[in-house]
Parts: sequence; structure tokens; C-alpha cells
Amino acid sequence: MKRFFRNRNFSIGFVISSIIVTGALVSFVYTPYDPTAMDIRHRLQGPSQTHWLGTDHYGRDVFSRIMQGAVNSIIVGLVAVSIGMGFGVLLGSLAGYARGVPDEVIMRLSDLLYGFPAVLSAILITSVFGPGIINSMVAIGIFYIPIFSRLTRASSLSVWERDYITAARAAGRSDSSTMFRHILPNIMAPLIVQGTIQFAVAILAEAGLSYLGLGTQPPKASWGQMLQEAQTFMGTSPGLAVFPGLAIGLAVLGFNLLGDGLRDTLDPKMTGAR
Amino acid sequence: MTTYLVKRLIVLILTLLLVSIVIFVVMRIIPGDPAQIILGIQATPEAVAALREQLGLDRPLVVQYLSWIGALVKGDMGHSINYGVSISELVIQRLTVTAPLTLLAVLFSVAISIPMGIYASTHQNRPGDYGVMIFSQIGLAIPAFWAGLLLILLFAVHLNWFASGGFPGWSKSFSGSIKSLLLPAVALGLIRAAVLARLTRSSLLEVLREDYIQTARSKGLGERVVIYKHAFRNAVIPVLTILGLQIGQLLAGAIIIEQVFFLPGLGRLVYLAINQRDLPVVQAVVLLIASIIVIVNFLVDLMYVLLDPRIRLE
Repeated sequence: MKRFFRNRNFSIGFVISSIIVTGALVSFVYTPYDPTAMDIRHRLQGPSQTHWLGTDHYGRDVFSRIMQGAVNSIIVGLVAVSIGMGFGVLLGSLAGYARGVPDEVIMRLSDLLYGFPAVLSAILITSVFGPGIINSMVAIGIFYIPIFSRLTRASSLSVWERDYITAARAAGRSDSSTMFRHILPNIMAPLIVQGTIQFAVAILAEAGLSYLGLGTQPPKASWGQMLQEAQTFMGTSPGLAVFPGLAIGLAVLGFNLLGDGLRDTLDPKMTGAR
Repeated sequence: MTTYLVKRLIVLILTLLLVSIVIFVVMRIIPGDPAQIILGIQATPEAVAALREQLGLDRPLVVQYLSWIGALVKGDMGHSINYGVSISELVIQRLTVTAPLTLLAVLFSVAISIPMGIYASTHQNRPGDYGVMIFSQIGLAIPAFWAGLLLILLFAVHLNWFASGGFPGWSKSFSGSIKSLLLPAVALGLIRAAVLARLTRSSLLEVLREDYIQTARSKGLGERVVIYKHAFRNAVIPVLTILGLQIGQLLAGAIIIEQVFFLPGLGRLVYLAINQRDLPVVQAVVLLIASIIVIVNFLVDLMYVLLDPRIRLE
């Protein structure tokens, strides 16, 4: 762990993302106010001691809503990365192991999805299956599959060629056992790094979808939706358009730095790859 | 070279066909009957059946797909359910906003990122380099639509230099139209610039360590000639790749940015079409954006070949 904290990016990223994750976890047991409770008499108030970041047009406490929004962002990030990594690793391993036709088919399909912007695809999917947090997580996750499958294939191809793999196979270990016991553990580092980076991208994508009204649905708070609602009141309550955006920026910055730090420490060859 | 070009063209056409099949299938698995959606829940079954026949929805899927593609090849994208006009007409009209917006965003991002990347790589580990890296980290972290909101807050609400949104139209006011695209282009381009600045820096740093750069320097060539004529030309290939890929990101980003600035572009068209369940429009515009992405990637590939003879030899 010490070697991670010697990396400046990792340390800063760790602190920022810990604050965001802690805020999200605390919101399950405590928020200063009920994030969905309206109080019209105290609407559009600026930051004060009673409402740290002010109130929105329904009088809801902005700080409490940002805390609840963090939960949504983290869930979307986790589920999208799990879908992308789960299927991507499976397909990438298969392509790297089988080579030939399966490899060609999987990689050409990955190429097709790879250049397609996740937000556009997510818009298409949420427009067909309806808006909501689950559809947006699935939509973002699907478009992560090629990223992880390409990475898994590329990393596993070189590992299959190593001497210790030949030794393991010569010793009679089956291919599936070699895959799980030798190949996958050896390609975990780039996968973890990519996972952290895609986690940050998912937060951005979810914010965009929620801004368009296709992601998290009211009354649940989400950062993108808070910014969409704030736009009407920007002249009188600029804070409403600033604080949720800061939360998105901080969360993405935190996870990006964490990813950069992990990459520098776990896989120095990838430095500068982004 | 010709063989390479033909091969790439075949792959391009196959990719476009595959994209069109995916979009067609996704649109067909949507819950609900499009004819019923158009006519509303109070429509009689006879009316729904008649409309299904008129729209060709009663035909087999393969026939529907082939007639859709056949019409597309002739430039007929179908008819919008809500606007009642041809989609091609709508798209062309909206492209007059989205195309210049995307172009301005690309110009802005290239204009600031390339000099930043060059400066950072030639001043590695100095304050200027750190400044560029911080800019790049922040740029990667903030969503374009929030950057747009902040620009509105500063330049429209506080300084009153720009309108907070809207588009006067090219025929009404050319300068007004350009002005209304500036803030959204900056918001879109700023984020892209962060990626490009970082990439230009890392790509140039790598090239500057090459032996031939030392040779160029030892020949007594000036630093400017070494950087711009020798190093930059070789460092620009990965930058071009990302720039090509970014066209897609920019078009996707335009969907949200046009919403922030109330611009009547392609993005806003598709956004409203989603809300109004105008699926032929969604289908046509998504296919158009996807095709632009695929074609731009193809052009980027061709540009590599022109810029790097080694790829031609392979």
C-alpha cells in the first residue's frame, strides 16, 4: 500500500474519491435534511448555516441532495463497469485463447462498438426502453464491453506466450484452469486501471443522461438532473448551477487521478497511454 | 496502395451495413406498436391496421429493412411523425447549426491544445508543463454541459456579452448566428482540448527522445525546425487518431450542448424526437451520426497512410 501512496496522483485521487464515497455511504443513515422534502417557504436560498449549500426551487436542501446524488453516481459507475468488465473479460479471454474465427468475429464487433460514443448509444437505448437509472447503467455498461474485451485480449495474448504458461500446460494443467489460475491474475493490473477510469467516465455519462431527463428520475436526486433544474434559476441562484457541477467534477477528477496513480504504480508501461 | 484502399472501403461499407442493421433491430424491438403510438390509444383496430399497412409495418422484417436501406441510398430518410415533413429536409436544416458548431469546437480545441501540448513537452517538469497538465485533468473531469452552464453564468448572466441561448438563423443575422455558436463551441471544445493537449504532450515527448531528433539537433538545425518539421510531424499521428474519434464524441456532446443553449440543431432534433416518440427521426439521425463517425474514422486511417509511409509499406 505504501508504494501506492508514494504516487502523488494516487494520494490526491484516493482522498477525493474517499470523500465522495464516504458522503454517499453516510447519506444512507444521515443527511442534514430529507433530500426529497420540499419547503416552499425557504425556496432558492443561498448558502447559510442552516442550509450549507442553499435550497433549490422546491426548498429542498442542496447539500443533502448532492449527498444522495453521490449514491446514484457510484451505483451507476459500479454497475456499468461490472457489466463492461464481466462480459468484456469473458469475450476478450475467449478471443485471446481461441484465436482464428472467434477472435476475428469478437474483435470486429468490438471495433464496431468501440468508436460509437457511449452517450449516443445510451440515448438510443434509453429512448427505446424508457428513461431510468437501470436502463442507463445497462446502456453505459454495454458500450464498455469492447473496451475491456480489447484490453483483455491484448494483455492475455502476451501472457499465453510466456514460459511459465507453457510449463503449466506441459505439466498437464487444463486450458480453463490455466486461464483462471495464471492468465487472469496476470492481466488484472491493466483491467483494474481501466475499470477505475471507466468508472469516472460512467459518472460523466450518467450526469449527461440525467441532465437530458433520461437517467435517474425525480424525486430521487442526481447531479445531472439538479443542473438541469438549476438552469431556469441561474440568474437568481447561481449556486444551484455550480455546486452539483463541482460534485461531478470532483468525483470524476478523484477517480481519474486514482486510475492514473494505479496505472503508474501497477503498470508503468501504460503511463502516457491516455 | 489501391489494394489497401479497396480493402478499407469494403470494411467501411460492411461496417455501415452492420450499424444500420443494429439500429433497425433496436428500433423494432421497442415495446408498443408504432401505428398505435401515432394514432393514440383511442384509435380503432381497423385504423391501426390501415396505418400499419401504409407504413409497411405488416411486411416481413427483412423486406422492411431492405426498403428502408433502398430509400436511404436514394437520400430518402422517411417521414417524421411529429413534423409531418421529410426527415432529410429536417436533417439538412438542422445540420446548418450542428455542422458549424462541431467545426468551431474542433477548431477551438485544436487551436488551444496543440500549442499547449507543444509548450508543455518542450518545458517538461516546469511550471508551464504543470499548468497544462492541471488544465488537462480538470478538462477531463468536467462535463461539457456544466462548462456551458458556467459560460452562460459568466458571459450571459453577469457580463451580458452573449445571449444565454437561442439561434437567430443564418439568413436573419450571420454575425448573430456565429456569436450564438461561440459559447457552445467553447464548452464543447474545451473538454476535447484537455484530451488533445495531454496527448500532444506525451506523443511529442516520446518523439523528442528519438535518435533522429538528436541527429537533427547535432546537424545544427534550429530548435523550431527540429520541433515543427521533424518531431511534430511524427507526433501528430496519435493526435489525429484521437481527433478523428473525437468527432463522434463532439456530435454526441452536441446533443446535450444544444439542449443547454437551446440551439435548433441535430442534437435537439433527436432529443425532442425521443421525448415525442418520433422513432423514424431517432432512427435516421442516430444512423447519420454513426455513419459520420465511421466515415471520419476511415478518413483518419487514410490520412495516416499519407502521413506515415511505413503504414503504406505494411
